[in-house]
Amino acid sequence: MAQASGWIAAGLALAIPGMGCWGQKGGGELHARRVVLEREVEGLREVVRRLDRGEPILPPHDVVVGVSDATVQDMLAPQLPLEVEASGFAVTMNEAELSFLGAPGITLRGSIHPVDHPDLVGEVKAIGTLDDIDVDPGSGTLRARVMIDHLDLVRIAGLEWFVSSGTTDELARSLRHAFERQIPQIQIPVRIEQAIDFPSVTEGPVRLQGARMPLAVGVSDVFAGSGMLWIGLRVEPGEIAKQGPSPPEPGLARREGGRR
Amino acid sequence: MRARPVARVYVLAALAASWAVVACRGADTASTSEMKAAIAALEKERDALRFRIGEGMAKDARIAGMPTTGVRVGVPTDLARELTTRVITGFVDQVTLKLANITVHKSGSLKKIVTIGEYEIDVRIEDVTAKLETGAPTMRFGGDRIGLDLPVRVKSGTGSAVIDFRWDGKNISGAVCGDMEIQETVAGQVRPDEYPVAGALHLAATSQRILASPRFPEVKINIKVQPSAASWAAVQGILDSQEGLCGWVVDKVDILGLLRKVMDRGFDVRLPTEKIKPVAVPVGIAPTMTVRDHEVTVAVKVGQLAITDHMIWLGADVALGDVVGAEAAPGEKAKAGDPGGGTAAGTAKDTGAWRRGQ
Repeated sequence: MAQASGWIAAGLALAIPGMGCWGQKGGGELHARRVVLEREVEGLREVVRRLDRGEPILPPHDVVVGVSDATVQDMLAPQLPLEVEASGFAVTMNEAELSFLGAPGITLRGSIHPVDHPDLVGEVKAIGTLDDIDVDPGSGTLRARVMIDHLDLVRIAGLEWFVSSGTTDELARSLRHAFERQIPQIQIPVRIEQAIDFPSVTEGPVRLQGARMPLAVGVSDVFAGSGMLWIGLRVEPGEIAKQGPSPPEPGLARREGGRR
Repeated sequence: MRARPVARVYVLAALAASWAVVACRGADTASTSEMKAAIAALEKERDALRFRIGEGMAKDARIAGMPTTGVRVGVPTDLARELTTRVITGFVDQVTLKLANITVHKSGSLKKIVTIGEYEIDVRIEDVTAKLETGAPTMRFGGDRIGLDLPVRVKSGTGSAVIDFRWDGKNISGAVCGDMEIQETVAGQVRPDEYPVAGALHLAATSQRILASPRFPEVKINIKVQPSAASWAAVQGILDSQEGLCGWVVDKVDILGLLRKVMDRGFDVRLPTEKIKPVAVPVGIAPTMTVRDHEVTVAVKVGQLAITDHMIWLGADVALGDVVGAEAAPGEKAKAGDPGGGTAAGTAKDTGAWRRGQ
């Protein structure tokens, strides 16, 4: 019995390093800070490369839509909490913070617990970006997908019994994928019409038939800076097509008097 | 004696744990300092890059007039110019004027010392079809409008008209020749002509979009039908059939000349530019969003609309409003993410106040 206790103690001692390093308060935050900074700097470098090539920051011939991180955060808030289960853990993300500095960054914060032990609750933080920004062909609104590329267990509070250092990365990967599938696409409240309509003129001496000019719209460029996400939209007008039946023919009269 | 192996195990475990903690702390200290150094370097580079970008933004003329709201939409004037030109050349150039039952009435009297008669001419357009064409527009961006100058051409067309000439002879003319009536249908070509048109597209921001409303002063075009030689010959034939004193009257009155003048003056047709309805600029604020499977209105506070030489800027602040179709108790509104109740953003009609998307 004593021998068994000893082996357990030894086993625990050998397990401690991984958990200790992994669970060090501050280490995860530093790593997260570095991830965010690297992303921001890479985004800023790309903008500066554009300036160095003599190109403007905003796409010169395209419509530009700018939306602030606070606005998107407000749009996302009612969609919380986000809940997923993966690898025997349940994660609930209660907070979302968006920061458009160099890259459209998003940080989600919440709690994690083993599915079978809801009493053992830790804190979790996910860092990612808004990606795959496009125009929803159905509604014409802009939308974006959240890509999680970093997941930190901020406070483990007893979870070390369930998570060894070797499995942390795997757990993080599982949770990342689960979240990416679960997080709804973020809608950006800007709508791009797919056509311009010209109403018909049906009264008066001259009558015009209505027409429609289709527009091909696509995202041409995306960059973030100073708290704003900028989206370039290429708008290509198509051929104008008449719509509806021809209006009825009009008539008018003129009277003149004269003397020779 | 049996306690010894157990003690050894505890000692080993303690040693291992101590080693582990020390090793971990050492590695952690090293990696932490490396991490901090990397972060410091990144922060330094970030600040330099931000400064560089700030300089670049300040030089970009299109930034002028950009609103400071949470949502900003910028349409380059180059694109607005292209779209407007496409609309004008593609839409207006497809316009076919189809006119019918336009009547011109002219009357007068002829004096040769005494009044020899009175005449009435009615020319009734039976059918005229003419094509409109526009030249390249000139646009000016500024204020809340896009100034627009463009030539409108009546390109080509055909038409037919019924000429009705009535002569009421007076005095000697009446006594010897009496009254006379000529009615003849003439057909011909519409004479091409060009009209300069100057107006503007007034831009106004609503809670969802920018509307461009055409504002043009009264635009009149003059449709001239040139009767064919055969048509004039037919009229001339009728006149030539008048003989004697009646022939003298016809010569003195110069009926053909009168008819030509009436036809040459043409028919004024006012283009109903006021009937052309506003056209929406194809980028604006979405009226609703989907939140947790609920359609939710977007409350919009419209900000500045700025038109500069380079950009048309629309600014707005948005917030999620009511759940579409949700019934709220008096004094209470259903709120996004909380379909059961809560207070949503208020709504108002004036610019600068919150508006609910419709």
